[in-house]
Amino acid sequence: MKKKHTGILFVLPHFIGVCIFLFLPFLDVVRRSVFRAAGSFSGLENFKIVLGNDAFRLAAGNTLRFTLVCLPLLLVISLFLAVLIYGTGKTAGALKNAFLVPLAIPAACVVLIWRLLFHVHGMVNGVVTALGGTAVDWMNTGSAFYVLVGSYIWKNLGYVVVLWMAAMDAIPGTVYEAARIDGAGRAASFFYITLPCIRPAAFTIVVVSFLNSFRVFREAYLVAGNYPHDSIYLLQHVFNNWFMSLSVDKMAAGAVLLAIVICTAVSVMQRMWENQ
Amino acid sequence: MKIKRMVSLMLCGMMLVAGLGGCGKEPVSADGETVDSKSTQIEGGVDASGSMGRFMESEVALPENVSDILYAALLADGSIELFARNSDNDSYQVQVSKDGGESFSALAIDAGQIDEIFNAYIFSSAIRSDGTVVGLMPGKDNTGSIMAGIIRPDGSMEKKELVIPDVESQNQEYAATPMDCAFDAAGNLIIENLNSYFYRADIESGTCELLTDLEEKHVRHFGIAGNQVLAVAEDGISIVNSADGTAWEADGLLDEMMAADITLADKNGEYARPLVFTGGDSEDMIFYVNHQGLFGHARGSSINEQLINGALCTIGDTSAGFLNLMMVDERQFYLAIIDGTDAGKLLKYVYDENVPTMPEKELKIYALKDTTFLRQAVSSYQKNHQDVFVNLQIGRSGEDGVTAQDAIRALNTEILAGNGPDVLILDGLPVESYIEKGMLKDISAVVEEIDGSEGVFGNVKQAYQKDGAIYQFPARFYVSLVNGDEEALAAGASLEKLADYVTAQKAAGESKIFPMGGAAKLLEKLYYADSAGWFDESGKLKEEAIEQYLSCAKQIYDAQPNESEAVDYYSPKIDASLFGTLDAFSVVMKEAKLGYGTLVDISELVMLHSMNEVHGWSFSPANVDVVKGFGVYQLAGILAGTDVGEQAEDFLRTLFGAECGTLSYNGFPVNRAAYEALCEQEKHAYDGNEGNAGVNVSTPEGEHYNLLFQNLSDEVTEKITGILGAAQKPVCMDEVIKEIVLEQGEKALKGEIAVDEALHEIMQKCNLYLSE
Repeated sequence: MKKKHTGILFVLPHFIGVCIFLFLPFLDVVRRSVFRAAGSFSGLENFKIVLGNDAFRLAAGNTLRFTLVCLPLLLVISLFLAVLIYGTGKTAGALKNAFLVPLAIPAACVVLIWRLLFHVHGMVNGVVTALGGTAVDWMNTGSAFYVLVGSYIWKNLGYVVVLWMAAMDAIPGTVYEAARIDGAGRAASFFYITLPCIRPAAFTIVVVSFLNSFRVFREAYLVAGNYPHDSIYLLQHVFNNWFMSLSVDKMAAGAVLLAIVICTAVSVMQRMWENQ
Repeated sequence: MKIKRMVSLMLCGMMLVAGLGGCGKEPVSADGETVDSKSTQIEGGVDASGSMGRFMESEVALPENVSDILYAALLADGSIELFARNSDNDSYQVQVSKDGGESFSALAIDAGQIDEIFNAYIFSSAIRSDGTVVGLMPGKDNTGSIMAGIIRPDGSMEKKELVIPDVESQNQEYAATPMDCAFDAAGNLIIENLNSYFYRADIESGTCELLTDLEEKHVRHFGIAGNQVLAVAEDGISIVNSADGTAWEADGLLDEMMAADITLADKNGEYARPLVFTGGDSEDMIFYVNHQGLFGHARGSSINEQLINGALCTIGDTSAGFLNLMMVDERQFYLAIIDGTDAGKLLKYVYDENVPTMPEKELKIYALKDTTFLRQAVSSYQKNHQDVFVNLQIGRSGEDGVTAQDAIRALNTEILAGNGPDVLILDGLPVESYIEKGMLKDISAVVEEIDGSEGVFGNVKQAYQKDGAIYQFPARFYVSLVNGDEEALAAGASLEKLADYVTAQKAAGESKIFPMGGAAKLLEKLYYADSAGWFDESGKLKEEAIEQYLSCAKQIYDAQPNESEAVDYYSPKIDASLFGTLDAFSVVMKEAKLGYGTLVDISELVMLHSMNEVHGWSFSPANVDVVKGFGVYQLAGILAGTDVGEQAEDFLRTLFGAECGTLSYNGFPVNRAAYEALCEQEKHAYDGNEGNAGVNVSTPEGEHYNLLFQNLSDEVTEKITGILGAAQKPVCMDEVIKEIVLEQGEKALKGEIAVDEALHEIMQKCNLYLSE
């Protein structure tokens, strides 16, 4: 009993912090979502307005599309690289560090690199035109979406590789040895040992990658401002612009909707993982 | 186990304390004032301590024919003496008040003789404690001697040559050019020349002796406190004994003040400066005024007592410059200033122990950008409402790299937290969104009241009426015009006609047709003429209107010479923001066939009228076949929920009122009384002086053009009044739309993208913005 109370006390500081800085403000957001900006009660009207808002729908669609494209790509590429690196033995550490470098580069620098590379007169177009192709206005056409996807994968790849490798580290070497003795090849070991054993960690990795996908807004905003090309207009753009115009009512309703979607998605994934 | 429990309890406690830390009061500076890191805030604040006693400001009424004050002084017998310019001619006068400014009497002087004595520009002047006035002018050959015009208390006058010694040791060209002068407590005239050499002059004998040489310091101006000569330079204040020229040790506190604001070393105006001094009862006492307030400080001490808070009176008006500070005793001061309209004023400060040290009420005014006009309005309001502390918050000071978006975010955070301002200057703010959210109060009562008493332009009022209410209203407005011959005027009636005219002229062999300044300026000029017609009734952007705008701009741009060849002759500015101005000078300099752009104020109209009278040209509203638009400046509103609504409305009465309307020349006042007063003024501005005032422009090729200003005629006044009164729709002042259009438009004009692509980008981004 005593032991149980001590544990609660250790959790309490963080819990208080979460309550003060996250939970209570979120309750205020929920409250504001059913009131108009001027203060009168509006019920579900704000939600109706937000769901009927073209900008919100475009941004929600883009964000969903971005998540659906990025997440599988990131998970597959990172797992592939993790397996490759894991097999390299002593050089694995150095390679792991190399993949982590993008995480250490500040967003402002990334944006500068983007501009150098993807400006209509930038380096990528320089190469394209040198090879006989036509220059593309990367950031002001549909290509902007794929630039954003590439940036997200480049930046997060190292981190997810490290997470996959940590999960692989937890698999006892004796399991692979036994499989080898039984005649299992590399592919069989991967599908029948590695994948099942890292499945619990995959849940965390998916959730972390999913939440990290929302951070890509920073780069998109710094490169293209408040009103970028249609294809990279994300939910954070809407929230940011709503705050600029003091549309707190819409912002709160949108935030509540987003929280519901995220919580539902995470719960569904958790349930799926538990069932498996 | 006990230790673990202790650690966890301690962490809990720390977390709680850290959390509650955020719930405290606002940070407070050492002097008990609220600190706001996000905005430039005038120091001060509402005093909750209940302490009493404050200097109250009042304005001394000056004699009617006094315009500029050159010097003001408190004489030994307690009289106030002014050396001033006449308002009706360029001559000078001396006025004396023996009753503390209640009444003035002019010193009887020979009008002909004073013109003879002061027949050159007076570089600097001073008044001795016995009432003797000295005005310094450079010597005949500009070396060897300074000329002094002297007016004695009995009205007798003479011109004296003050011989400068050791001219050879310094730059001879400037040795006899006076920079500044003042009398010390002993009655010696201290003179500084352009080389920063200081002399003590005897005006009776005409001799000068070198007091000190501060050439290396580059002294800009100086003041005197008793026998202390305070020489102001960017790197500090040198203090010299006026009796023997010895230097006193540098005063750390004064030097710190200079280090914090080197502009204190500048002069702001003909004779005014941002820092003036006077002495006190003791030898080392220094009283000084800067825009922070009036301070008392003993030389070398670390104590600096603020006697008057500049934020509570005219002293804080940064558009004003100071002439002289006069101390009657420690409870009464006089301050002569030149205000933002170059008018001389004499202010009186008397200590009143029965009023609170700080006003009990605070009025927060927020503006994204600082403007002289706003400062003047605040100063005007503060002068008449000394029971209210005006807290002027500027979102973008221009010195801290804060973007407009950062500033708006910070403002919105304050509004959401319940700490928002009371009055909003809405230029650059998302005003339509604020109105939609019900954040702005209906100010129609204020507007109607002003309309009833002084009148406002009915078309402007109508444009801002929404469902019977007015949530925003501008203090000033302006229109786009085209200026030139009949053909040019006809071409200016629409963008399409203008583009065709430019193309036809180009085909006829003309190369310089439209006043240029590059793609951005061309787009901006056309934006102000056209954007009022870009929205349909439902508030949607009309694609065909933008397409027309872009294609016409492209057609005009392509018919012009290269951007590098464009010459910008005359670009009047509104508070440092360049509007698409007429560039009428381009026409007379044969750099364009017509003038096109916004007519930003009445002085530009005077110039235009003077030019048109010579060349037989005329002006008419631009793009009038498409839309009759007008631009606005200093759009103001009151935040709903303010608890000082009465004070906020009073401020708007000041801002939109006739007094403020005539203060500044930025745009035309919406207030009819102010507008008519300005017109009337310009109808007689050059009476008796026609042919003297004007402007001279030279081309890079060395061609000169001299334009002499003329009084506005009734015909021109009526015409411009008609154009201003007929304008119907405000130009699109939404910064987001303007930025998107100009950015994409510039790319299209420069050929980086096609017009179609630019149009697509504009429509996509603007529709996205509007759909939010």
